[in-house]
Amino acid sequence: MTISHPTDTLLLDYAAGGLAEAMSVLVASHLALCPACRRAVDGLDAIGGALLADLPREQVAEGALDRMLARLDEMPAPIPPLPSFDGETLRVLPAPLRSYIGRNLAEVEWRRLVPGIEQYKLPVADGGELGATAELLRFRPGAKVPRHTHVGEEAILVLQGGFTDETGHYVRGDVAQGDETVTHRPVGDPGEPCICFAVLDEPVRLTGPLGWAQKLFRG
Amino acid sequence: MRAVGERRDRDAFATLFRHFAPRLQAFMRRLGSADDQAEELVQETMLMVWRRAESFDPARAGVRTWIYQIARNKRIDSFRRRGRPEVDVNDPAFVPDPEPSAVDRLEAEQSAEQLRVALQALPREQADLLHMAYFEHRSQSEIGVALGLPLGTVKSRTRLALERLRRHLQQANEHS
Repeated sequence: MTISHPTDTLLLDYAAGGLAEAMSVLVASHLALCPACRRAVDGLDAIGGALLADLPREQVAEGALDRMLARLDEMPAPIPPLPSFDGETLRVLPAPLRSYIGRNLAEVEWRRLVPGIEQYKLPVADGGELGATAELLRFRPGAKVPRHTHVGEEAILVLQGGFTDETGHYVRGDVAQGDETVTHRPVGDPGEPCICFAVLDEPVRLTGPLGWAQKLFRG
Repeated sequence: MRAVGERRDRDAFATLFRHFAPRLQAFMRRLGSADDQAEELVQETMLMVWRRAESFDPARAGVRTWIYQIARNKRIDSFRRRGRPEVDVNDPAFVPDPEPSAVDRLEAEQSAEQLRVALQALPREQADLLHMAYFEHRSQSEIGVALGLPLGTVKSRTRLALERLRRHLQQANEHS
């Protein structure tokens, strides 16, 4: 049962179209798992619909309707086929994230960060000057992430298993959000490995004594 | 809309186009698209409306909301290589609604008109924030930077706006 939802601000940014790509993939993936947030976003989209309906009408070019009607029989551009995903991938990764990653979980090239924690960095299309990062993280049960805080905003969506930190306990579907006011030290739950999708606007800042781990989320 | 979806009725589609194209043109122009670019985006949007008309679910969203969603995605796609990711109800990982909220859904179209009235009644400073978000795709923090306001101020003004809209809709429903 999902209990930790994205903030209203994040949902509004998503509905209005103001999120960079990686963060919008994270929100869309949460929506696939959370009927309550889908309803909230439907309501925010309705505001968009009402604003659109109320815009002063602008002159469309002459012949626009004819050009439009002439295009109705156009064949849609072929959609590039996605790989056929295996059962584990279909179960763990919601569709928006699955198409973003474009491969099976078993084919992900995990890179060890610290003992018990692995990372797979995803290319970010429009991280912009903020230097956003997007990555999958996998924690072995009991694995501890060094204590850290963030310069910008971080959002983590849990996909499998769970983790606990100072702010709470998070399981599949939950979104944990943090910023520079939050210092935390996540620990993987016992049981199956915890897999998360994490998006950061800016690099993490280590607050513990482990300066060597500065590279933790940056690679 | 139903005639377009069920019967592939071109006359009905032309009516829909005449109604929405001038508004979509304005929507696309708000982001600084030149006239011909704006027309192309309007056509791309309406082409998607034609192709997807069968899957339009009036219980889930009103026509204008549905067209807004398509237009927003087209606009975002126009400056990205990859399409905006969409939630897919056929996804094996998709978690369906525990119970279909039939009452909510019946009200979707009816409340669209009330929402429009409520938006017109918003104080200027709150309406401006929503316009910057929905028409210019600025995030709340980007709006703060653009207006020289602390993020907290932007968030609380937006929250006030949304609460006002909700109250307005509740009152409208009680009176109907």
